[in-house]
Amino acid sequence: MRILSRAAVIVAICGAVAVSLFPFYWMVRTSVAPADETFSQGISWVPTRIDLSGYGRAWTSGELGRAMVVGLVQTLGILALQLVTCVPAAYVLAKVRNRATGVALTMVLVGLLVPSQVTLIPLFVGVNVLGIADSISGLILPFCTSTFGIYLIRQQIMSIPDALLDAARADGLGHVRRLTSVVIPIAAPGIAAFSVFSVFAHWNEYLWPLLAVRSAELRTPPLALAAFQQADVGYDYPALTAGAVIVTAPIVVLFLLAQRQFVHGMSGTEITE
Amino acid sequence: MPTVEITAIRKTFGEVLALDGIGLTVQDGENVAVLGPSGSGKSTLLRIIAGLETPDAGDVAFGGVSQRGIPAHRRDCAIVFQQFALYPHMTAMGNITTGLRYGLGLSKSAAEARAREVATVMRVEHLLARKPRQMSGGQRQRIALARALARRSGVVLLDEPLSGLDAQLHAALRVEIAAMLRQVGATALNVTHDQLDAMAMADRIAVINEGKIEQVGTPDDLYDHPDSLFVAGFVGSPPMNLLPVESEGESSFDAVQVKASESVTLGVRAEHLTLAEPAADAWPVSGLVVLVEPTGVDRVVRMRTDRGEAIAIRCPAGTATPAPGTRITASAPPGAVRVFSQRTGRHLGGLDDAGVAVCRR
Amino acid sequence: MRRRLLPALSALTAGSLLLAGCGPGSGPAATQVTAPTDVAKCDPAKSTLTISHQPPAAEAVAVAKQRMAARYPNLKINVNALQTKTYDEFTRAVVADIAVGKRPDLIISGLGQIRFWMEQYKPAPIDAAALPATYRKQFLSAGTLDGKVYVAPAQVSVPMMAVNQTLLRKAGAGDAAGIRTYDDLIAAARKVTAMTRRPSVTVATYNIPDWLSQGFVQGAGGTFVTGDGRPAFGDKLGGDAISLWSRLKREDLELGIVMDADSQAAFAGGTAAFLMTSSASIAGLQKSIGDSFEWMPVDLPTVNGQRGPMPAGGNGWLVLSDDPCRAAFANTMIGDLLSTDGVMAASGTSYSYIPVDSAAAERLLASDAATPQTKYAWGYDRELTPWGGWRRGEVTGQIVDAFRTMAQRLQSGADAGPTIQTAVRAIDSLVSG
Repeated sequence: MRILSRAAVIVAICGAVAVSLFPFYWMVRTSVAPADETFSQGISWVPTRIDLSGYGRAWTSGELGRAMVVGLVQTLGILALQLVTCVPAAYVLAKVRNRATGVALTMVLVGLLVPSQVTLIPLFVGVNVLGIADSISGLILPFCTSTFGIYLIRQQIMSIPDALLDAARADGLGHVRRLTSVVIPIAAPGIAAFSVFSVFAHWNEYLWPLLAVRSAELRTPPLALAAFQQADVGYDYPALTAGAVIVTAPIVVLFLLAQRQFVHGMSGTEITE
Repeated sequence: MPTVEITAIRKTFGEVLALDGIGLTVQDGENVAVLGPSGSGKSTLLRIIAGLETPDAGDVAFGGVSQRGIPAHRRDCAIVFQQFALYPHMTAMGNITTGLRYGLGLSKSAAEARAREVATVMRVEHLLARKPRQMSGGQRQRIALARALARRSGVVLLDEPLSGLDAQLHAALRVEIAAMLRQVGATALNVTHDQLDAMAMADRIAVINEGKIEQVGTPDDLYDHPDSLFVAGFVGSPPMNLLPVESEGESSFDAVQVKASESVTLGVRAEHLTLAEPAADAWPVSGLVVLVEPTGVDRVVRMRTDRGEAIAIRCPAGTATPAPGTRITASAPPGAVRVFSQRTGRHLGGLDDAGVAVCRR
Repeated sequence: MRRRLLPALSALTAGSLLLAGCGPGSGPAATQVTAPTDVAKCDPAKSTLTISHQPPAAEAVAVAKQRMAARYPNLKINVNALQTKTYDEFTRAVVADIAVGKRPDLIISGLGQIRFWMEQYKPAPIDAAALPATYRKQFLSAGTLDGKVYVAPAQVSVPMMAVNQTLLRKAGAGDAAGIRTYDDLIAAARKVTAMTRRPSVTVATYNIPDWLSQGFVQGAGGTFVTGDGRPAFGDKLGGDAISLWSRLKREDLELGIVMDADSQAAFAGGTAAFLMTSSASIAGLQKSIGDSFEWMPVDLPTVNGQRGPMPAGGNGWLVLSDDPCRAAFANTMIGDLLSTDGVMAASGTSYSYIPVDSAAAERLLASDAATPQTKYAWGYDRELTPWGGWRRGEVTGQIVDAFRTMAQRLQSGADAGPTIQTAVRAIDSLVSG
């Protein structure tokens, strides 16, 4: 009976993995298949021959190399600013209780409820007033902080017992050192989770770069891929999927690295009860 | 080692009065337990002594020197926190040395040397490279104590130092901690809700309730001469049986009427009640047996009187004990009966000197 | 991705409208008609020309920029290469730019959006006389409003039907070229469907429902829009022409695909034997079909077999300059964009737009890239009408929405008569304001 239920669980997990990996497999398959096999009848799991011309088109006419450098600067710039702003804010909102932090926390929660699209146009106007439209700053600065990040990291910091921070105070650690030596190492899993979320979100962001960027030199990966999905002339699926593979690869690598960090972080910072 | 003098400490949190005029002196090298139920304000008192909280009024002095305005890490005191509060991401060595380096300003090597020294005394050297998650509860507690002792402070404060440990370890560690504190000669103040811990570790116990100190005394004082209804009902296992007297002088004692100028409650210890044939002048009380608890040396019979009051009777082992559900009568010698004022909660004395009139029916 | 994008874009639309009303000196009322001055009187060094375009125009822009640089070495040209996927997205981005005071001088406009630009931003008509001699003037009507040429059509397409000849042959359904009427189409589709046991026609309803409807009505010789911009497809002929969707659905011959890209995929994959879409997609289809099967683009079938003029799709160049000299340079640059080399880059060889330059058309038809399929687009030489032509450019988006609703209801089998009349009334009230 137990063996049966174990087998059922394993089958279910394999099924779930297969289902979630299928789109990735299909993306890779389409990217290396000749164009005329993109929609060939029936499901052909393996292309009849490998055609890498999609990668050539994606890399050269999509200028993906440059787009990925821009994307990297953009996402890491955003992440750095977000961590610098969100972590201290989250610490204060989690562990300092007074009227001011209460009001600030309410504002953060309200901010969480505002869909990002609503702020798009005001941001666009603001960025133009500041004269940073169509620049790398225009891609980064509007996202220099994140209410979601503050909230998520605050929740993590909340779980740190007050006694631990009292101990740090009694040990002579000031606010800054308490933050860097105690709070950040313990909240690392939450901070890492938010970092991965932030990098994913901004690496894949299409709408804001579309609005903010005019120069070809500042194209981010999603903008570069838009050239292969023109409503008017039809989609170039091999180039689109090849581009998607190229653009997704760093994210997959990052995720695999982060996953190890996660496990390490989780087990290394278990909080004694 | 310094004395700790606490005078007229008052602390409120918003509308809530946490501490209401606390005064307490701990002598050089003495170990005082602050005993009280949760919410009594005892942890707040400890945090004020440590400098983690500022009192609204009153003063804390170490060796006659007021600690007002001195931050926690500059006070000559160390704390063992509730649940140990070890940094989970640091090794035991890191946990011990952090305070030495940042609080006391020791160099890294000096701090580590001192940590090793303390660890050797406490026989926990082998744990120094481990992180808290790699240690058992007892080992974590020893490291937490080592962290406090490494500061070599004159005053050591312990906040529920044994909560979260299983019963066996609990009993072993309280002896060990008390011995260690005596060995270093520190003036110690430990806060607990567990009277057995308090009695086992402390020279004197300060019982605190609703922000006020009810009574300070040796464990025996508290047990034998409770100053208040609260202490009587809190200290001792089982605590003193408390039987309120009604306006007509009636109480659960069947044969007597107790007349007083104010409402009083009678108290009698479980061991002063007997199920044996009552002496001629003994006061009888009867009810139904609810439970019999064997404790090893003797057993405690729990009974409910007709008025619904719970009464515990300590019986010598080897005597016949009644089965639950049977009706029994216990009796107490009048000399063992204490009288408390219901209005003030204070102890008025024995039947002879409490100003009450007793008529037998 | 698309599902998240839609609410975003609607928010953006709302925002752009707001911006259009309050931007610094950018409101429609604040804009003045700026006629280009004589380019010879302008100093190139004192002007910076800003041009905004979408990806399919990139090659032509590169050609024109080079020619401009040779002609005016001191003229600075800013190219905003917007990576938008549809003309709607592109229009929103340009509107946003104008709202913050960054009005471009020269932009791409979808041929269905000319009235929006004309009414909202009052561009000057372009200088049609300055176009190269080989420019096929017959296309100018697609960029003409109220007798003035506002847009020089550049990448032109028409609605067409792609037919999988291999499937037809297997099903004994005859020849693609023989399909002239809806009855012909339905007869052939029945045979294919009988063989494959699934619907064999796909006419997507999301991206270009208004344009396809216009093709159905005009192809049959009907009137789609009245001369003063009101709906005219509510008559018997219009109703019969547009009811194609529900006729196909009634016999379960239509696949029910909504997105144009998906219907193209269904055709390229061999699921659909008949695909109605833009001739601009021929090059892409050819790439993804390869040698898998034999196929041909043919004229849209019509309800009565007539061959009326198709609405011109695609895009053209529009001068938005608010400065006479920059307007003059922009007009010059249009001449370069629509030069034979510019049109070669815009229409071939990886695109299948109808070449607007006769020399380019000849060269493309004679090139190695000319296949029976691309020849349909490169050799297209019939009369075209403007796309739409509705009054009140500000409701352009809402009119497309009304067609979308109509087409999707018909596609799911709604009764054609009332559904089409509802659309007529909705559009009539939109254009009446």
